[in-house]
Amino acid sequence: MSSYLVRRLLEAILVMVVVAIVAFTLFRFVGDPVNQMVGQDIGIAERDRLRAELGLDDGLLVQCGRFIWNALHFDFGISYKFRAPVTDLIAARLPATLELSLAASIFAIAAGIPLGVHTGIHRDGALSRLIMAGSLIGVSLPTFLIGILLIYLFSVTLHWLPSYGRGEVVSLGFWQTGFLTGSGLRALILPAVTLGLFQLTLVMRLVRSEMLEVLRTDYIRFARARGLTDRAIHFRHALKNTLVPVVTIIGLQIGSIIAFSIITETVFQWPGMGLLFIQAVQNADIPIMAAYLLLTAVIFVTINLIVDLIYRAIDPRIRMSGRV
Amino acid sequence: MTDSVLSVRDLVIEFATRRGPLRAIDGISFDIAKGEVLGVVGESGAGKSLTGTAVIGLVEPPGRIASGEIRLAGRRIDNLPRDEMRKVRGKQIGMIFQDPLTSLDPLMKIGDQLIETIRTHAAMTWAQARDRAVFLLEEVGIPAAAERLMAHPHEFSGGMRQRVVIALALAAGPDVVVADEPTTALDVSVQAQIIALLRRLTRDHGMAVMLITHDMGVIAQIADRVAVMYAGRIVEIGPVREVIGRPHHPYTAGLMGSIPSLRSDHARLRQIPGSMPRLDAIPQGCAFNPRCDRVLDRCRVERPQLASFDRTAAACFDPILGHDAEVRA
Amino acid sequence: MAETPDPDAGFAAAILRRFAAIAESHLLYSFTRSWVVMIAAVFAVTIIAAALAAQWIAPTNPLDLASLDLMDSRLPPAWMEGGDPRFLIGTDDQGRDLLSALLYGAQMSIGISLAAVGVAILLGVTLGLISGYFGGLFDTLIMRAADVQLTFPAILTALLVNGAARALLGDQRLQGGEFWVLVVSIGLAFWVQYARTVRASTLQERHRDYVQAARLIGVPSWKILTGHVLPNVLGPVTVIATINLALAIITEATLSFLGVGLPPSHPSLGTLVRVGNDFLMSGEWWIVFFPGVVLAGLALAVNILGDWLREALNPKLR
Repeated sequence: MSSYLVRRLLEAILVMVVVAIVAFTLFRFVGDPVNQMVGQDIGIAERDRLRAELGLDDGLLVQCGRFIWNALHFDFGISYKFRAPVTDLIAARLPATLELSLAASIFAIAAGIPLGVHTGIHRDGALSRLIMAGSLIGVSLPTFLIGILLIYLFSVTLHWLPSYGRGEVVSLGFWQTGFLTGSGLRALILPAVTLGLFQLTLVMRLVRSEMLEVLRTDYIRFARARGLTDRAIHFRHALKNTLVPVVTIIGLQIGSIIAFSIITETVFQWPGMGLLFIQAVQNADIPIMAAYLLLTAVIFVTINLIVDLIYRAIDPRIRMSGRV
Repeated sequence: MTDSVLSVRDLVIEFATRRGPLRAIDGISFDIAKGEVLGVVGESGAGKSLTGTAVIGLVEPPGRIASGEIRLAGRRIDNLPRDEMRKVRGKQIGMIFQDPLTSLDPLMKIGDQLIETIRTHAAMTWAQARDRAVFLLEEVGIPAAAERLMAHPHEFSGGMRQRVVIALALAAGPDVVVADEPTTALDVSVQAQIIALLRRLTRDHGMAVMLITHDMGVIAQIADRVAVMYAGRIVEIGPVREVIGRPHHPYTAGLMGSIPSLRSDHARLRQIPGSMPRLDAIPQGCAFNPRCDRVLDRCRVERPQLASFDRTAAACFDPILGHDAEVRA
Repeated sequence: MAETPDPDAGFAAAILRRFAAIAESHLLYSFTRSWVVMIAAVFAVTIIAAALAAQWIAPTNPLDLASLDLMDSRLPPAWMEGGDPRFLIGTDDQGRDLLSALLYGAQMSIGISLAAVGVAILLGVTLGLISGYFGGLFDTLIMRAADVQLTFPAILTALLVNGAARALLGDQRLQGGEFWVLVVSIGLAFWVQYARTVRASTLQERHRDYVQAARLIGVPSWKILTGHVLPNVLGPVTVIATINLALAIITEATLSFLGVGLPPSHPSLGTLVRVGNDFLMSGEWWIVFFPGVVLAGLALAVNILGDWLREALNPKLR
């Protein structure tokens, strides 16, 4: 068990090192940091001075090491565009993204699992077919179109919910939360649904196919042959056995929720990291892109590790053998 | 038979397909008395397992019972409402599956699986059910039963798991047990133990057992009577000694010929030339006629019905009689 | 050694055999059975054909800025009050005929997506073949890279490649190069699945008797790969490509919507929606509606076709 954990941890660190090198390459070679920081009218001598000051004349390994060292201390340099430390920019926007992602994940899981169970159990029912058809449409609709559709329906036409922004936020020290105000919660609904819808369909389809698979197994047939009630069979035996792959995918999807928040935040002008990142891409603001890349990598890798631990808790067999 | 616990009459099971219904079970009848073990043998695809599945009411679409009836202690059970039938399953009819490795929920402690089953069918407190679970595990020969309640299935060996499966099947004290190839997936040495266990349990509880297998060795060791199935029909049925010693149907004789000796527990049924027809290509007349060395013209047009010879019954126009039956068994 | 390699078994012959087999399978049967699939196919073919023929069937040329008249801007569809019969589904904020813009835009989107899927296939299949056939260090490197990339959603990869390209090229040099920046960034985001699938089949094929025999008698590696291994992965690759096409269409539209795709003067489905979105608040719904419907319908239709292909060919995808 512990040796397995150590190996997974080493793998995670390896991924992080690779990503860090990619981020450094972006940071150092894509676009000239000096050109980005100074105007056209600055002389060569001034540029060289700045270059030396930034340490751009040192050896590559030294620079890469310094980049990683700084990153470990949450120092990602200065944004070309905003002329402010990237760390401050991201820290100010992180809570908005995390709250949105959390709300979207909860929505996707809370709706996706029951729908998947239902369509798995009643695979040929009329309601199931309707849900499945709806899910194919959900998968095919680009996130931004869903957002636009929801805005048109609930903001422009019905005037029920706000179409952009976070509403009022309450400051809890360094964390600005929208969870504590009515307008904050109302502002959260449309973006969270938009962001969660795609994940919802994925969770649902996965739970459904896993349910179908599990319901065909011998232990479910044996459970039926023992006269257990449908409820016990479906929820105590079948659902629990679908959870290992489902937890995996949900974990991985939390990662992609954070990535997809870029789109949702753009549609709803949600002041989070995604919006910051897309502005950075538009402006070729490399320090922000590099920092975002590192940050999302940390989040993904951490989630992967947690997912691993969770399914050890669910499935006793993995504890024994070390692998699925 | 008046003392029969399980009675199957003219059972027909069909599968709906794109090209119309396929008949998988074509009018079979048999009885099992209290305390009796009926062996059901045949090649895979003969319809043995499907018959067992029908008895416990788990035939799933596209399959369906098209006609005939199944009675349990005189009460008709093949047309019961879904929830009524569920109460019969486990409580009155138990079933043991072939593969102990896949029959148990891998994520649930076996104690919980037992207690869950017991409490589904009997109004017991958790503690009472737990005591019964320990008793059941002891009865099927699992050492340190009380501690093993906390174990997950993967912590047991194959033979031990099959004992757990048997304990689960017997949890609510059924009158009839359908055992579908209970020893096939096990090591030879373990097979003998499980057969001995089944024999003891049958004797102690007076259960009626429908033992489905393709292993004549198992039948010879444990069954009282045997039904031989071929292509969805029973071709011969009677007491084990009679059927094995003096088979009347050429197919049964072929099966016996394929047992090297009864000492070997691993006989396989592969010495009759050809193979059993697929469901959509069952020949006219006797289904066995293309493979039969005693085939008559009549066998190709007319389907033989079961007819009695002494204490057995066989469906054949030219049965093996008297000294024809020189079988090594 | 029953299957000694036929020296003439070239790539083309192998592909022909492959498609003959597909035609005999129940592909056609299942196609005619499902009306949903039929409708999806008709829809997709109509849109694609109309988009490809945009130069000939569009009423105006939306790229010709001189023909635009700001007086015509934001006119509703012809059948509505204030509509103009010249503009069947209305105009956008520049006074462009929306139908023409839509046709040219769809053409651009489909072109980018097809090219991007092509890049992904080329890259993925090549790397998958190398990885599976030669193994060793290549295999380790390629598959590790695939693992790391799989950790990130495709859209993020596309955005990063896109951003890097912007920074590398600078705004001036990017002018006119947006098409290829999009193609490459989407293509790079989707190669992993092909590489994995192809590698898996290659590993299987490599150990077959006839491949071993072909190696023994000295058939060159590339001939074995193209003649024997490649045809066997065509089924799965076709399915992945179909589903990827839908994804690529969505990704292109998303990038353009996010403002890192094509400039607004070059219509694509994404830029049209982006422009239209700004006018949704003021009630001019048609500017976003028609491009949105075409985009969603196209993605949905291609997805349905992909699903159907997967079931009909039933390759082991996952």
